Amino acid sequence: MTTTDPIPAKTPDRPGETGSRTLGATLATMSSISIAWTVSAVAFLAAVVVAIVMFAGTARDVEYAVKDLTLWSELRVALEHFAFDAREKPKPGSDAVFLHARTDMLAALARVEALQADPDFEEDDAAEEHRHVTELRRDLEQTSERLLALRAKWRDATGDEAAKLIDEIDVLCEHELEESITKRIQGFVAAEERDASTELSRFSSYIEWVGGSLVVVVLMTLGATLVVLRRTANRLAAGASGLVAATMRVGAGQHGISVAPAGIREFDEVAVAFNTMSVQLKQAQEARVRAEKLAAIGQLAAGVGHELRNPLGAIRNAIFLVRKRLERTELATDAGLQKAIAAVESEGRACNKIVTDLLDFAREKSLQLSACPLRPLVDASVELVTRPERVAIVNAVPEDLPVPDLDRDQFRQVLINLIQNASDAVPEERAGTVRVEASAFESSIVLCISDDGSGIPEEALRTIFEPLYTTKKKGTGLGLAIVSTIVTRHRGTIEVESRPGEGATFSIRIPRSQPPSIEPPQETG
Amino acid sequence: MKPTDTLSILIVEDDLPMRETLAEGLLMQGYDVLATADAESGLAELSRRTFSLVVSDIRMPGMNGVELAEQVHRLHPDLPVILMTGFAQEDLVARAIANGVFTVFNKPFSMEALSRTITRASDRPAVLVVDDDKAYADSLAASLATAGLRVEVAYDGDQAREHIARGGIDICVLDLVLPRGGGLSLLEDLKRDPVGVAFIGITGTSDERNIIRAANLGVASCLRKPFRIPALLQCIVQARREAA
Repeated sequence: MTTTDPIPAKTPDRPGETGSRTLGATLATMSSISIAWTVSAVAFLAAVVVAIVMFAGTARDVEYAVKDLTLWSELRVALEHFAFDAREKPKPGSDAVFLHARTDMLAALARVEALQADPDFEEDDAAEEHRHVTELRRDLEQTSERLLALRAKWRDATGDEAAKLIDEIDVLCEHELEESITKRIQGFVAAEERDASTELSRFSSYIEWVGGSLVVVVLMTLGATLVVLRRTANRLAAGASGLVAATMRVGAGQHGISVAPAGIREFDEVAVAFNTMSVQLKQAQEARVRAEKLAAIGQLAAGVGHELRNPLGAIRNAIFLVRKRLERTELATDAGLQKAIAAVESEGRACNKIVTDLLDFAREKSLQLSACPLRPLVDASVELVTRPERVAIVNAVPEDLPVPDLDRDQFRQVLINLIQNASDAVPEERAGTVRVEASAFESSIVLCISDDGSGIPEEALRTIFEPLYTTKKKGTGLGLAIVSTIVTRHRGTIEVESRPGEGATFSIRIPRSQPPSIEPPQETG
Repeated sequence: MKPTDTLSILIVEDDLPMRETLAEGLLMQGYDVLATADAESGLAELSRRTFSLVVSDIRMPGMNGVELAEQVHRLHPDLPVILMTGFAQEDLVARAIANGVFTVFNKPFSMEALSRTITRASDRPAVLVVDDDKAYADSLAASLATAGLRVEVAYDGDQAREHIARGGIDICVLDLVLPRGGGLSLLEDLKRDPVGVAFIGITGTSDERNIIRAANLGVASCLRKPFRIPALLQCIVQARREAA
């Protein structure tokens, strides 16, 4: 009998696996243990073959279990997205907005097609309309798949109904995990142990004829194998039960839970996926709580705001009446009375500004998009800013900057608020300059409003866009929250950079054009 | 003497102080005013006598202002309606705009602005659509007419000038790229010599210089083709509100 080195031939072929311990590596360890015990190459090879056969089956089972778990966690993430879409329907990027844009596009298509049906329609004159039709068609075809999926998703489901539906799916999901996936994993682990012992007893009778002395050696080899197998099984079980327990805790509403690595690559991959999901869930939960709080403030504000609009309107009308009545009377020149009337008027205006801020912040306003050149819009906004003469405002936006699609009124509000803040940031005792600049990038436009005022303390930078945050003596603390909301509505982002004493710069990045279609929130895989 | 002397206004507003101050303010400016507290009584008054114009709140118990506007549009298609709202209920406002209300005012508003708008609206001014693509211009005009607006159409700059000179137009939806002189030269002429017409630019080219020039020449807004009819209607209503 010759002793051969069995390792290169029998190590299971798992290319490209390094780092953490794998099932393959476990097999390799098993093989090394057997080297120490090798007396008969035949017995050894047979043992290894049996072990591989046994293990191959187990590995496949584990693979299935891993796939199930991965699938489940992906499903959870998808459900979270779905839930958010459903709860925050009108937000840009949501399916509702996507559907709305589709409907508009269909309407446009129908209109252009109706045009083509016109007998007076001349081909040459209408090359443009042809182009629109082609573009629209292509766009529609590209998204038809998503439309189909959406139709299924949104069937009968709106508002609370949708939320209820999601909850039901969620419960089903949990049930599926508990009843099926978890049990299957535990089953696989148990089966693995059982198989190992069955194979062992079957194998021992098979090798009896090989020779009495060999039996002892082989049994010892297999005994060592079984120890390794058991260890692996324990790790599998620990990994699975850790994941299951953590999943249950997340399911029960606990967030931010992470799973420790089990030392088996396949499980660790799931653990990483799980931990990512857990963090995302936690963030989503926090965002939802915050959104709910703000929505509650918004509801209240909107109700109060609406109720105040009528009295404010009546006051303004009454001032008009008083003024008219006083015309051509001796009281028209009474300075004290005129001052009082002016005070009522300006204070009424201040009240209306507060109400408008509250409503602007609270209500979901859709965008009335039009092509808005920025330079003239900045000019128009500067007109509406109240500032002392010592503050200069420079509109350095290039004349030929690409024209973005904006809701003019809402975006003007953004500019007014930011330019007003910048102007207010200049200390009273000195002169200052507010600069508005913009530059175009491939798919976006960046607009910067900077001042050389007193700057923003570092701790304030984090909360500056939060509603009800204010450092001004007068103000609702909603200005920058409104700015941020409107910018987000335009699918843009806003950032602030500042150091105390060195002024501040607010940078807004907005897409160059507002696409009619909206991509799904996240690609899977 | 103001021509408003003969205009009779129906006010529909459920809030008592708002209704009374509004009625008094309009009376003081020489209008003939009748005010009701709900849409149902307003409709009853409309069947009893002739009015020049309706000014109605949107949110009211019972029939709301938008439903009232729809009824008015159906029963008295030539009667202009101006709506007032304290809170932008977007869906309702959009529905009203698609049904030909003249404009929508946000409370509180200036009495002078309302008065100027009433004067304009009572003339039933038309929207002029100018586009050298006849089929396109006609279809656009047809869509606006369906929404209850009075519409005129011109296919080039010269025709547009004639229409504007003739009067009776307060909004011009102008293709910025017209052959011979183009839409921009029309804007330049009218900027030098204003005629009280607000312009809404429309453009199908990717050349944005036209949009920038139009903005500098003071167009109310600018839309890229293809646009939605409701978007254009929004622009028209907005331009009419801002014209005051």
